[in-house]
Amino acid sequence: MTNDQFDNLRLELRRGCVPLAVLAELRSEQYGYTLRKALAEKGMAVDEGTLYPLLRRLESHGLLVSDWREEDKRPKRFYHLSSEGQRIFKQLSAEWETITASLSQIMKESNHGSR
Amino acid sequence: MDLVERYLNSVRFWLPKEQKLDVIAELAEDIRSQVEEREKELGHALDEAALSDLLKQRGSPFTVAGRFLPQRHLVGPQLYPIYEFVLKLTAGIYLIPAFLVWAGLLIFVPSYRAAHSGAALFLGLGNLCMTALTMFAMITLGFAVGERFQRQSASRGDWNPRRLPAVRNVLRVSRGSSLVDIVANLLVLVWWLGGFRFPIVLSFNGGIKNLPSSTLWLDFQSRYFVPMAVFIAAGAVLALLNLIRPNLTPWRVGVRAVIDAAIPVMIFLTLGAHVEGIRAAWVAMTGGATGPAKLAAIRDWSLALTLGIIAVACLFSCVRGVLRIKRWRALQS
Repeated sequence: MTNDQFDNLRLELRRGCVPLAVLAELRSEQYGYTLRKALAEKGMAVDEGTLYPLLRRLESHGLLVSDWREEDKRPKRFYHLSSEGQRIFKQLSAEWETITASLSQIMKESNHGSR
Repeated sequence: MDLVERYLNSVRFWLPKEQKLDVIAELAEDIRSQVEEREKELGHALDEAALSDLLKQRGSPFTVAGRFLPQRHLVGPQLYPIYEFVLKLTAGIYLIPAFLVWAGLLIFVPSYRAAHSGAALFLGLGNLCMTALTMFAMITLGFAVGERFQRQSASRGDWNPRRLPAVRNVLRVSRGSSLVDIVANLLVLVWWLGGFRFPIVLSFNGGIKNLPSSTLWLDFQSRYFVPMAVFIAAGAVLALLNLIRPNLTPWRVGVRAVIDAAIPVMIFLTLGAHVEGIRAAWVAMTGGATGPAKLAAIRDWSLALTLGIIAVACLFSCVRGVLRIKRWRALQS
């Protein structure tokens, strides 16, 4: 497999996890830039071209609430989970646990098989 | 910060009206936060080169704005392969042959060049380009409408597995087409053996006379009378076998492919021996010939063209037969 193929598959794998990571981070209120930094520090770097459209989409689906406020004399848009967002986040977290458990099981079996 | 303003202004241009203010304010804040942080790390203000690098990393204004727009398309991924196929089919059946005819007239026919001098020479090409554009637009429009209906129908779950088309058996010949084949082959065989004729009767100034057969035709008949009779009879026998047992066997397809390959060889050999006559017929037809001479030229040219079309059709059928055998082998394995 070439590096390009690996990068594409890796990107695809991570892309599906970004909304969950964003919802998890926005359990506490943050604005765009700090959210991006927080995700990057935790190993989930998301470029701004992906993050801001995603925030808009999640807000339009009613999962996030945002409001413009001044901080350090500059207007910033703060986001946090709506009540619907909290409910969906719980469901997605449970789904995530199931997926990781299933994948671990599958990969463990594959490792046994390949030996 | 002039560079940032210019960048934001360019992004703003591509955004939908209702999102402009909101997106630009948030993007501006993000860029300023990043610049501040970078300046804190370096301990001095960013110069224009560093600022330019930072903006370049974010992507072009067009790309950045594009990420905020909904994904839209005229023809979606499901219909796209059919759309592409229809475009290729249109190009292959109409546009490329039309272009070749125009190029052929331009290169080989002096009378065409003489009649269309200067810009008029390229008028034909211009018309062809307009036709190509119109066809492209009409096909795209048709598929765009189809895409809308397909999306609505898919979102309603409006489909029934029972209405899906039956799986086509590539090795089965319908009895109807076998019957038509038998009748057609027998009629052609009787005609080839001289059972009946279509006399070409012409009227010139009140007088009636028969147009004599073309030398090209007479030569083709005399050279290949027996082989053609055998091939036509074999075609009728194969069609009869297909009628009795509709599932094709490789040898039946193979025999048909051999016949289909042999006929073009005979045609091209005959046409090759009459190139000068065909060229003279074309010159007479497009030039100054009149009356019976012109009609004879039209007859010779039409005959050559018809034989050429038959040869191409036979070659096409031969290739189809070979592909059928390959598919049969694939199914067997």
